[in-house]
Amino acid sequence: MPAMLNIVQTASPPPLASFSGVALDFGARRVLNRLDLEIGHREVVCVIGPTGCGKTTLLRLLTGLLKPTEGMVMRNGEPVAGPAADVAIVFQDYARALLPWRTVAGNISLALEAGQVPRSERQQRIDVLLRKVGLSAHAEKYPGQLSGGMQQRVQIARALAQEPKLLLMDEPFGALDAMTRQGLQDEMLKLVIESGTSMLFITHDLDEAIYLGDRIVALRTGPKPDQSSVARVFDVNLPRPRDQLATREQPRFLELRRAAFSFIQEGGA
Amino acid sequence: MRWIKGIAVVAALLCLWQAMAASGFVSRVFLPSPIAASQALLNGLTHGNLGLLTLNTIEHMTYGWLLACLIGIGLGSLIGISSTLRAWLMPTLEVLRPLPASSMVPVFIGLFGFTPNMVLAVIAFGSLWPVLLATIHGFASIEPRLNEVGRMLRLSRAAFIWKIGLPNALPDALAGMRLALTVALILAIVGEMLTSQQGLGRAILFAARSFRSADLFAGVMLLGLIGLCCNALLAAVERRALSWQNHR
Repeated sequence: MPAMLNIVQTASPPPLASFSGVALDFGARRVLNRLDLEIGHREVVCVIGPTGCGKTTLLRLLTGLLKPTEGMVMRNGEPVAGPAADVAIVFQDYARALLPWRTVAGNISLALEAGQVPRSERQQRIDVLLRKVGLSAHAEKYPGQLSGGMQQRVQIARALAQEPKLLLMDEPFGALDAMTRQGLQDEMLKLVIESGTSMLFITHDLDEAIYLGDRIVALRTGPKPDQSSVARVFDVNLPRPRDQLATREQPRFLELRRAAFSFIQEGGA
Repeated sequence: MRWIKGIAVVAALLCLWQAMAASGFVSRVFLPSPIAASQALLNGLTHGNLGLLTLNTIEHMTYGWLLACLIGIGLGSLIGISSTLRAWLMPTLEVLRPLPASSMVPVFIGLFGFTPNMVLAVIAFGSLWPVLLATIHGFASIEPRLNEVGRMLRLSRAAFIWKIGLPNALPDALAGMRLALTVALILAIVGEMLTSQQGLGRAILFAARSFRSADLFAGVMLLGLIGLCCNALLAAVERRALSWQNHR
């Protein structure tokens, strides 16, 4: 019956997050323009683009801390009104985003306390999270005693403590050395796939974007009034699980790398 | 080694004091020898009521100081967290702050009369400022990123103050509390001298009026000792509360 079919169609779940016709002005400057983008369930979307193209702004729109000048930002079909319990963020500057007076366990506990998790359950959940990010041996240390990579793991564990449906990563590994970065990339992919979370990942590193993403969104700087901020979208189509050596040697990886690289070199036009 | 150097200077000063007293350069009526002062101190503690007077003074100081800390940290947190309150209250505070506490004494006498409450009010008023301003400053120095973390976690305002604001302000607030304790001791003595409240202040004043210089100096030595002990105690509390800073 057609009526039944109709019901089935409308019941298909809305995308986890979507931008439709979004524009954002900082003063007289238009940072984002005519932005349309959807983030699906269990999808990893990476955003690249030159400095000042509004990558972080795009991410902040999803937190609800920033409101669009035009258009709609939606989550699960509802307009984003403000921070939500199931949207977590990991900042690049881990040293400033952690509480220096709380231990590693205490920092993770902050998210559980905010989420009204009963005291009796907290310790056990902290233990699980510490194991996930490999910090079990450092639970009682203060952030100041840890390396940059370990501090960033604490922030990731705190974000995961929220059990987010959507994880926002704002150039999280930008301040770390290459080895630590690669290690964290693999851990992050494992954690995200395990928990079924979607991830919006901002980076200025093309290789990182290709390695992590299902899709790569390239933004342009200073869009003209009739232009969209989204300059190009690359579908990655690389098999998972990914591997630091094998994945990076695949022809598809190199092809994407070349395409993204020449895009950036041409000034993101 | 540093410890020995510090003791050496104290010993040298005591010798100088002894030499001056012995030389007769200053009349013995006004300057007792350190030995005489120490004897008066021991005598007062064992046979007199110097111990009790000391406790009285410590009590006055502590109550006033605690009141100042309570108001200072509470009000400081509220002003620190809310830019609206800052806009409304800061000008008033800037007018009140430079007022010498002693100039407020007649005002408080008018309000409370010559009562222990008047002294309490004077001590609290005078020692409020270091705590209040340090707490406000501690809140102002919250890393903007932590504000965002708090908002992303949807912390309530009370939870933000308790879990992020206060711990962040604690180093400043503790430094302010140490300054405030010194002010509280001074004002406790002034209060006792003014109102004849039982305590070291009154004892020192009476000793001076009846030319008992040894007793006067015994009292002054005790006051120095109170200040020293209180400061050491607060320094220990500070080290413990801020132990995380040693791990940076």
